[in-house]
Amino acid sequence: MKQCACSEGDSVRNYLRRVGSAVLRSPYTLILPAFALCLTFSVVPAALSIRDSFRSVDYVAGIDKFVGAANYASIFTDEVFLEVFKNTVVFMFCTVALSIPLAVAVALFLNEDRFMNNLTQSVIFTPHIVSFVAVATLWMFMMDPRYGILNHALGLFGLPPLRWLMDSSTSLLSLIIVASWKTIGFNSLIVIAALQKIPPELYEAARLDRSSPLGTFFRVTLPMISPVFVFLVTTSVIGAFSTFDLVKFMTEGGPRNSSSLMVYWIYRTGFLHFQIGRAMAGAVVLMLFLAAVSALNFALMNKRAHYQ
Amino acid sequence: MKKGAFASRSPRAALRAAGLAALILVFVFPMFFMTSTSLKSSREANLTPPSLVPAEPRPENYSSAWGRMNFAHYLRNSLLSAFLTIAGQLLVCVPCAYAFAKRRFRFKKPLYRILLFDLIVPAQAIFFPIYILESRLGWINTMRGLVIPFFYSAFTIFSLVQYFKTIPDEILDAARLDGCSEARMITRVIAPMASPIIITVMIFTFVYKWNDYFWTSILTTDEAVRTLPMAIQNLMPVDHAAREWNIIMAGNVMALLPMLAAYILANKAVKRGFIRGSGK
Amino acid sequence: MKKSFVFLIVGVILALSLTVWRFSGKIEPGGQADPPPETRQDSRQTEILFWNVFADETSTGAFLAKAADDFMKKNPDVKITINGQGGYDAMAERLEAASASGRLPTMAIIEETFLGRFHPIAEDLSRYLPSGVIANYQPGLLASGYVGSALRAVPFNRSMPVLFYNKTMFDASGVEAPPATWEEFRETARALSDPERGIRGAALCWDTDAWIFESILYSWGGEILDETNRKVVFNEDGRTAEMIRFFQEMKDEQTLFSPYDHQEDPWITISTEVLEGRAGMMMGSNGMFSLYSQWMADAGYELGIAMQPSLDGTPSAATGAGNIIVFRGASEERKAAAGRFLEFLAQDEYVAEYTVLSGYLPVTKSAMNSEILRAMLSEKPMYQAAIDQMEFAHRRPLTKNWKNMYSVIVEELEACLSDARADAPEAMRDAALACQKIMDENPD
Repeated sequence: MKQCACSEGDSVRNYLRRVGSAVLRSPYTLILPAFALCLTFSVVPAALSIRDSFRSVDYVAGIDKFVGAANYASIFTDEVFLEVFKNTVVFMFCTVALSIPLAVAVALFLNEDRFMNNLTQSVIFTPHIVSFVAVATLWMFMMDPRYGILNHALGLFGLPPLRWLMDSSTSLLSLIIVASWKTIGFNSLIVIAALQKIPPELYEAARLDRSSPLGTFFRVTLPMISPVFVFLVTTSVIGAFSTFDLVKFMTEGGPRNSSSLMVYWIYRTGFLHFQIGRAMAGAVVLMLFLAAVSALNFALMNKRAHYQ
Repeated sequence: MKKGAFASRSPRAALRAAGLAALILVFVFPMFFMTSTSLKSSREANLTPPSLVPAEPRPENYSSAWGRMNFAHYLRNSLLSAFLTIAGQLLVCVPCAYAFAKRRFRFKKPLYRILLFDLIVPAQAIFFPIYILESRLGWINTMRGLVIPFFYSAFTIFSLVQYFKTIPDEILDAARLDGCSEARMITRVIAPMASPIIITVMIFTFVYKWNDYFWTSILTTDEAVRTLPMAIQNLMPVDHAAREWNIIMAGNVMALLPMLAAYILANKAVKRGFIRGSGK
Repeated sequence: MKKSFVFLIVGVILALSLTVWRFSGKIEPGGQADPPPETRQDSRQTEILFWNVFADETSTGAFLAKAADDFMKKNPDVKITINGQGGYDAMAERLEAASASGRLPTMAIIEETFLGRFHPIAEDLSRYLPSGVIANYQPGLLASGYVGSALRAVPFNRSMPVLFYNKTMFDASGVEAPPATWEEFRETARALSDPERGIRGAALCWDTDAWIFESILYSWGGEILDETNRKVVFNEDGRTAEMIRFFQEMKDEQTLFSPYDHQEDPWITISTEVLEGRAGMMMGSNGMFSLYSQWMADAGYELGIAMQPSLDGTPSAATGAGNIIVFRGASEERKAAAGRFLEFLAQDEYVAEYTVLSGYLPVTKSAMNSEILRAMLSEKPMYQAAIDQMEFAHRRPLTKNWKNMYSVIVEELEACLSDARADAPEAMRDAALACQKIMDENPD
């Protein structure tokens, strides 16, 4: 290129510059990096997961063959998988049912702008920014059946001690408590923000109508904050379905799979036992389930948008 | 704190105070207990009934945890991975969100749908192919393996697009008439106007990356680039050794201190950020 | 617009093809996963990567590091790098992951039963080891290295379950000899127990891979799999449930301590009980002998070691712990170098020294007569029990599904010995059905 400092070279350079600036200005260039990453780390892996869910893949034995729906048949006749699926649904419902109404109650309680309220609100939000690992180790320590402080507290009230994480009847419940404890602060923060956006005139009007406090809550407050429920439910559901750290740290799914959840099952089946086809079939079931939940949520959200 | 904030003039106020106290107990007590345990001897930590305040505070637990966790190394990794991810997201997601919010082009809708794919599919469900991809690329145990996949975030793009849409087109048109390039447009016009949402997504990303355990545990096998949650795991012995809760709690306190300090300093900004993140 | 769309397409295709190109990049399985850059230049040196099952700081880690140093001094053309992996399960998981990504090390230590899983990628070692070296290994320990007629693994850190007991406590309670049968085990436990002071005669942990369960089952005359290794037989007769019930009853009468009501690691829980004088005996791996002796001595107790009790005086116990495999995909030079290192490790002084250091069994016949080992036995004569037990070694399950199977079995076993007190026949029926399903869906 160097010896050719002639007009032709200039035109090549100009052409390159023109193309270059066209490329730089193109919206496609702007979205290219995000798009490439999305394809590489989301779309293609999801496609590969779906493909592998119909295959038997074993890298050690050198097997990679199409097996049809055998993996699905295997997991749907597997009591463990069915139990894990049930656990996940229970976990989801309970965390939603526990953390959202409680958050609303807390939010109503702390709604007034006062120093103590703001302080309390800041404090109960703290668990949200703490890692699940720290939360899990902390609660494990408190839930220890022998020297845990929770059993000691139960004893003070004359209640019998619980075996918390060590018992198949309480292990899932323990995880639900911890997960809710971690999210209530966040949920109530969101609800408070919504409460503070309600125009005071509405309350004024309700007062003039001599509406009871309960009536005001159901007729004014709840409808006005209902849009945030869609957001909270969506995040809670996705959060519940991707819960991993708590299970891994606190119970490893035990005792007897009583606290195993979907993502942990996928991890265990795929990454610890290398039954890749089965793990991927589980992943596809999870994806479908979440897609359905999301679709339902989006539909509700759109309806709400019209409502407003 | 104002004196007499709890002064009960009426039963109602007393009830209120009791409610506040109960809330604080439920949420503060575990944190307090964590801190108190972190200062106990390992014998005292396992005492029944548990003691609330350490009989003889042992700050040396912290130096012990610091050494055993190799804390400085993990702290560096945590900070590096969080800030690299934030930087990468700014580079990748802001231009992308700008294009989707303010430019017209063909296939915009379907492309946007594809980009928001991650909102529906939790990445944890499809980690296996990602692991295989990274290991074939030789990205396991490297910082790039730990941050590059997270340069793209559907949540970030979605939040940014929602906000960018509210910026009036006239301002952008005026800038364009002045011969403003796209790069300048993004850095000089969009970014300043959208700084609240950008700060919000940065906070989100920081919290996510700082606390992330799942991906670190999958994409790393040695401590070269592992982050703080893994360091706490190192304090939980696997091979036939007793758990020393006092040391584990000291590690916990140390791992959450930077986050807590940031939260206390920027309390309003963080809370506002999370509220805005909810799209409300 | 059209033009820039073309650019987008080209860009994406370029990015994807780059990825795919790296994706399918040629990797030598069994080569060095990530050779340190400074050693890359010297092409005449053969680098081998050896995954140790124990962490680098452990006694095995230190022993292997020193042995590798000695070896490299005599063989400057070979460079050995040793990486600790943190346990048998972790090793198996890493090897699975490494085969998926094509980044296997040159050689690794695996729990002997994992050969059922990894033999397709393990090299036939008779090609790299002189027959004299092979013939010198203890036959009872070498057996699990064979798949068909090919020798795919050789013993390194091998052990069998033994009975550890607190001799000081035995003396104080007037118990003269360690129990030889399970009935005596129960009697001894009763004699040692003092529930009011929280003292249990014995403590029992099934192990995370059900190894202790398996071994006790053999002594009870039971089997896990039939001879074809395809049929789950541990629930064929009521024997297994009866055996579990035996220990459940001991737990009920407070003469047996179970770790499954505690959140902590079961091994540490029971060894702490023994160490602090709250339990008088426990089953454990003889590989822990040196460590436990040290701990007990520090606590002011004398540690005893005896053969695993039997049902009626005919002992039978599982072998266990680590065999070394070399990966087939490694280059010829690497496999040859790995073979030389194995031969080096099988020398008497190294075998004996490792036994003294750890308590693992001496894996070669000739090492039995070495000075080092004789000195050890004259100092700690009770270790002879561990050596004597070798002749009662029982065959182990050989299937690639064993890890999935024992995970199921352990869950049930834990429930049986925890306060949940699962019904033993029911638990074993469930476990056997689940195990058979695993085997049928994924036949060897």
